[in-house]
Amino acid sequence: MSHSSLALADFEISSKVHARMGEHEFRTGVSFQQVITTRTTGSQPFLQGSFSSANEMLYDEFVNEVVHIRKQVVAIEQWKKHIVDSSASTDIDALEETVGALFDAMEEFGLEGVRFPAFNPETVNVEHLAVALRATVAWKHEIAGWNKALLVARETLARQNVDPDEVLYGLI
Amino acid sequence: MPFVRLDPTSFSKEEIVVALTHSRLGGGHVGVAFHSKDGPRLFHLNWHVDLKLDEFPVAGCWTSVAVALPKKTAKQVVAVIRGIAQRMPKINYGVNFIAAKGSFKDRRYCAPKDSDGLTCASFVVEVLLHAGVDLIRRETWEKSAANEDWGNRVVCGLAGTPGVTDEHVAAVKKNVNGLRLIPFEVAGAASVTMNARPIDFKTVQDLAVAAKTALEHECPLN
Repeated sequence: MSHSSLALADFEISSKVHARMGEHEFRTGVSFQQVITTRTTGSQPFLQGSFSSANEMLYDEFVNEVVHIRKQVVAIEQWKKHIVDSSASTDIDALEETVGALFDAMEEFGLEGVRFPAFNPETVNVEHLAVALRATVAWKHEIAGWNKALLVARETLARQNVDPDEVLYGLI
Repeated sequence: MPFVRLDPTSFSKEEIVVALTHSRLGGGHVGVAFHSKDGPRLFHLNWHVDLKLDEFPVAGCWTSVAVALPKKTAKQVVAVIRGIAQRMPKINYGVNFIAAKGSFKDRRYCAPKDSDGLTCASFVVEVLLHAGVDLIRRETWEKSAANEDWGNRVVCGLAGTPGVTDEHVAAVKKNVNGLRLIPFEVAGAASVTMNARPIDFKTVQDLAVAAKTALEHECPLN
């Protein structure tokens, strides 16, 4: 995983967690990273101080959510991998990797797993972006960022002097 | 696009073809062929919960037509269909192709509200739709008495199929109304230029006849 995806994961986790819980619940001596590591490996976290049972439940819920969000971010990074790599192969096997990772994300996280971020039209790999749009066209009105991503694809094709129908047939 | 006899060399890795063969009831049987990572495959709904991904050489004689698509789009369509074929969902056999629109969710089959399942013909239409290729204008389809007879034969066939629930038979029976998407129509719809899609019922009729004629030419019945 790249440094940037870790940073994104931590940002999303922090945002969600702070939205859910007050500051005092975190005064436990256990860092996010410890919690995630221990939860992922199945070992017991070492907790300093004590929790009330209500707090323990809340804490457990929060840990599960953190793990869920982190997995979700990793899944999104997987299907975005070739889209943000303008030099990635665009043969069918490579396109299938993008579709497979996208479908995996949808199966596990639903439409939340396929939110389209703001891609850069100067650097995006437009064939991989197009196949991601194609695989999700049935939910184009429900998926956040889908229409903007289509505009990015069109802009990229215009920059490359490629007929948009060549790549986006059926989507425009 | 012309019809040619289906074989592994009749279509490239960057093409999707719709393949057509004879059926016992005379309406034809249709599937979609593409190259997987492991070689060419024929993907078709044979009957109730009997989805097939056949390796070549396939059983029987099939004719086929390549779906006209821009080259870079065709690669994407192959990639999406490969994705669907990974899961090989269990699909009920049902006749309501109007309600079946949007049957695939990611790589999973998920019958929409009021859908009773798919036929071989609506399976092909739904797979292509999931890849952004809409073959037909469903709302223009017309009813016929012959189609109603066919629907009743489907109900009898399902009732005699081990493992089919009474509830499913009843659901299909309720949907027998003379509307049918015929495999020859799907093959005909697949043969048009890309700008002619989605095609309406009246326009596709001559193309359906042409598809049937091509099948009889390539694969004559003895």
